[in-house]
Amino acid sequence: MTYFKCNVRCLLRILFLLFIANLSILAKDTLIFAPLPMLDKKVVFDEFYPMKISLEKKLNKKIDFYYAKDYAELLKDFESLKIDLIYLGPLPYVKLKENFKDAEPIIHFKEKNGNSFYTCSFVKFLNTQKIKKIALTQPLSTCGYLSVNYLLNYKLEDYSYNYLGKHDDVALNIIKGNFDAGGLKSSIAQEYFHLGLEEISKTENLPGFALVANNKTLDDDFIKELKDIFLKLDKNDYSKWGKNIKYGFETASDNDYDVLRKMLDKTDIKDKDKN
Amino acid sequence: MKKQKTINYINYFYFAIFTILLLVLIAIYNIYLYKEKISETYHKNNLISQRIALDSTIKKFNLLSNYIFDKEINKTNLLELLDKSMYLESENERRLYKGLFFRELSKTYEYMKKDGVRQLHFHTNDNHSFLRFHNPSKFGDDLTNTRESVKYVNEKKERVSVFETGRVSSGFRNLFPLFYNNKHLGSVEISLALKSVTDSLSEIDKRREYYFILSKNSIEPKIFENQKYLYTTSLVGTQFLEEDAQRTLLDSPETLSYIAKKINIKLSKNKEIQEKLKKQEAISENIRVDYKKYNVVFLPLVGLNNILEAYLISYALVDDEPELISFYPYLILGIILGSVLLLILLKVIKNKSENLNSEKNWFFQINDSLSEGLYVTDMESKIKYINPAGCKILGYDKNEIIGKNAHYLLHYHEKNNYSKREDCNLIRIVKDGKNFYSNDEYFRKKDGDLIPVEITAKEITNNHVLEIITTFRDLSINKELEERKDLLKTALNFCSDSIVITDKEANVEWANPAFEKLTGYKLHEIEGKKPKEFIKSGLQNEEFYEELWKTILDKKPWKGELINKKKDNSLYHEELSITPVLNFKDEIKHFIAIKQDITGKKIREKEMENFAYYDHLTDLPNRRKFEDYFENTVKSLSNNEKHIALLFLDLDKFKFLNDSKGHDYGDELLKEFSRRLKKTIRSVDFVARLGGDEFVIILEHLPKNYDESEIICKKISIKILEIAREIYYLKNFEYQTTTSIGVYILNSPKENLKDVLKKADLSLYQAKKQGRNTYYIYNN
Repeated sequence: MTYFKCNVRCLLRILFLLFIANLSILAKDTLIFAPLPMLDKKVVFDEFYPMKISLEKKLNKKIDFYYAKDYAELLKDFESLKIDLIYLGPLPYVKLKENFKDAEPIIHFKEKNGNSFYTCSFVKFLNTQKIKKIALTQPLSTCGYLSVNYLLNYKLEDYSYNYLGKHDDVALNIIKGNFDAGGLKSSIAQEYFHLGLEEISKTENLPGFALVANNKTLDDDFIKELKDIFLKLDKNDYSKWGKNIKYGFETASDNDYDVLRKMLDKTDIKDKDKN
Repeated sequence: MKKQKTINYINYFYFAIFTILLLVLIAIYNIYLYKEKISETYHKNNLISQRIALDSTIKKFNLLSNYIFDKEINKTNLLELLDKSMYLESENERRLYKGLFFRELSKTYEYMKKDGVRQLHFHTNDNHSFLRFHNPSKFGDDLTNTRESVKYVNEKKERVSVFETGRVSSGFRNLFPLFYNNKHLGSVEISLALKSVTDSLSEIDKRREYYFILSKNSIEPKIFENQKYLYTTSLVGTQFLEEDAQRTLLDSPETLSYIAKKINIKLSKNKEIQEKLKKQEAISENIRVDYKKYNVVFLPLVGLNNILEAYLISYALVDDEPELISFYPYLILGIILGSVLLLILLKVIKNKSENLNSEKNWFFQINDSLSEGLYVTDMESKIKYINPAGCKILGYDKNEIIGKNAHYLLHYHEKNNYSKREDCNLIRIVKDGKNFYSNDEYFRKKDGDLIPVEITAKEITNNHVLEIITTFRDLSINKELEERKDLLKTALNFCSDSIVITDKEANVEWANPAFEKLTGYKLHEIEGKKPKEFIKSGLQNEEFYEELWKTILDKKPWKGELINKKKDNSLYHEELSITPVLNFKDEIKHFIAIKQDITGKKIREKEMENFAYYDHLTDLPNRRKFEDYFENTVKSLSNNEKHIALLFLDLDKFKFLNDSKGHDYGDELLKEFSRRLKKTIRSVDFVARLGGDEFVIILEHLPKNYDESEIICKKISIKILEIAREIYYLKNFEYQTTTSIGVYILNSPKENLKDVLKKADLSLYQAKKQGRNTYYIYNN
């Protein structure tokens, strides 16, 4: 009897969830897409506007951008079902997945070199001799505390560090001499090499940025449809997109993040500056 | 009829309308020109003030840019770093110095941004982007074809200040050539954010809203593909783009207000504005949106090559428009309404005047048509007006009589005992407020003759002034007519023929004495009665009267003879002619009957007839009558339907009586015998004396059968023989005689009198031969 009651309760719960999920996707004429939190609006538009337009046409749905101050807020809002799709780096994804199992990576965005993996660089200005002060992006940024700590052989806590937010700000603040070194995505760092930025070291290949779907606001069929759209996109379509997403796509799965999970085992990410 | 002169301004009515319309048109046109001039000045002032505001903003920015360049950029240490970053051989060194250059100037750039500078952009001397402080990761792109100002400053090596669209953003740009140790390194560009310009302009004039629209032709080829999303087609026109209309970027100008968008939509439909925009003209225009008026100023911003790069638009609620412009439509409407009212007023006056004139003319026409004289005097008898009939009656010309004293001119004469005006009845009665009437007055004519007049006078008021209106009628003609009437009446009264006048229903209205004499009826006895009620004898049948009435009701005169009855019931013959009298509508109003007593004439006619057709001794028809009668009777025979018989008889031995007793005894015998014959024959039979003692009898309506006819003839003949034998008393002398009868029976209309008489005479001879006192029937 107890068994029966449990099964019935489970069944009802499943039905309720299915109902909610279907209701939500059925009701959705507009998808909420959250880009990287550290990008300013102009960069968001530069990067994601063509993709937004392209997907809107394919899906016949409107897509709105969702802005958040930082990763923490972004992940919290994703869990609160305010966001349907999110452009996430690997660390935020792993952190998100720890608390919210319905986060499902759909595709990885390939790098310029065609790989779906990327690296984080630890950089400094050319004539900098001694590193004391380190610029970091955000606590949940893959290229932030986690990578820098990893590239400093887990000795980041020996230095003073500050979270600056955006990758570009890390680069510019190092060039301006406000910091001796910093960690940021390798591809972004390269754009500032002409201003005297140089790479000290970089990580191994990490799973690239992914488009993560909220399985609680989007049903499996829609997620599959979305994945198919990306994988079947013509190069002529996506080659006009933003510089970080215009090189193609690859299927993503949760297993891709196992490497990162190992790195995390040895790291306790601090979310406060250290002076 | 001569038309009276109308009031002058009516004749000029259409001229007045034309003049008013012309004046209104001239006024409207002049007001329009004046308004246009004021409007032009107003818009010109708007353009000038906006241009001044923009120029002052640009000048402020230029001063800032010059200051930044001179004090912060054009410094040896910086130029040295720039030189090294550009020209050192080692790439790492170039990167190092570029970074140091960036580092050195970055603080300055932060300050510049606070002052509204949007871009700080260094270019190489071959027009390539070297360093964008506003976007440091983007560099190295060739600007030769997209940035005219960069090309210009590097070629001319002189400063330039210009508005120019660009690859990343558009704006007001100051470009400076960079030299280090006389080496041309390239150039630097300090650009003002559009928002800074609009903010600055808004500070100068807070009432206005500012906005930039960019020339599509100029900017479209320049912008990066992934930044096209920032540009949207302007509501003003498809030839313009708006930069970051949704204000995605922080330094973009504020988005357009709802009103400004509505104004832009309205402007896009304004062909005149669109035409001016195509010609790159500066425009100031007032647009009405949501019942409010807004001033819109378009200032063209042209690049170095004089090609339009953008327009600065400013919008403001109009609160300083010259009153003439604001109230121009109302002024024009007021003028039009005023002139329409004036025209209506004129039209009303015209209509009233026309009516008045028409009435006046009508009055004059009536007055002129009057046969009576009419004049108007003041209370002192001074003549102010006299009508034509009055002039004609009195023999004066109008001008001779106007202004004269009416009393002394007309009414002062011997018939009036030369009474003074004060004593004049007419004036006295009228002054007492009563109407004066007299038909026993006399007026003196111009020729001095006095004429009898009938006068009516009364007091009237004209423009609050008392006047006397006098009408008079010349009774001279009336008197003459009266005399004629009396003459005619006398003539009718003395006419020997009876005259009766009836109404159309034949009721007697008047009859002359001759009628009274004829019928014995007095006029008062027959007035209102129909003649048939008192003089109808009944001797005329209904057909007679029907024919009479038919004729006179057809409005034709009727004439005929009839026998009527007098008051004493005696009959009389009259010859009557009845004439219908018609009115102007051709309707019967009266009948005039003229009767002539013809009784005597009728008697004479009868006597003449008797003399011609009857025997004066015996009163029997004579031979002529017999012949006519016989002819008619024979003609009536036809188809042997009946018989007639001629009895020819004479008295036996009549000559003996005459010879023995004299002719008077013979005449007595003939008369007595005639009486006995008349009594003996049937009423349908005819008896005549042919002469002497010869008589003929025509027996009519005898049977068809001859024998039966013969029997009747025999019977009648025997009866005649019997009455003839009876004793005659001739002057107390007893006499007895007989008669002989010759009978001829016939039934053919072809028989002639001569033969018939001959056969009857032969039969008479046979009777005589058989011894007299018998009859003999002719045997065919």
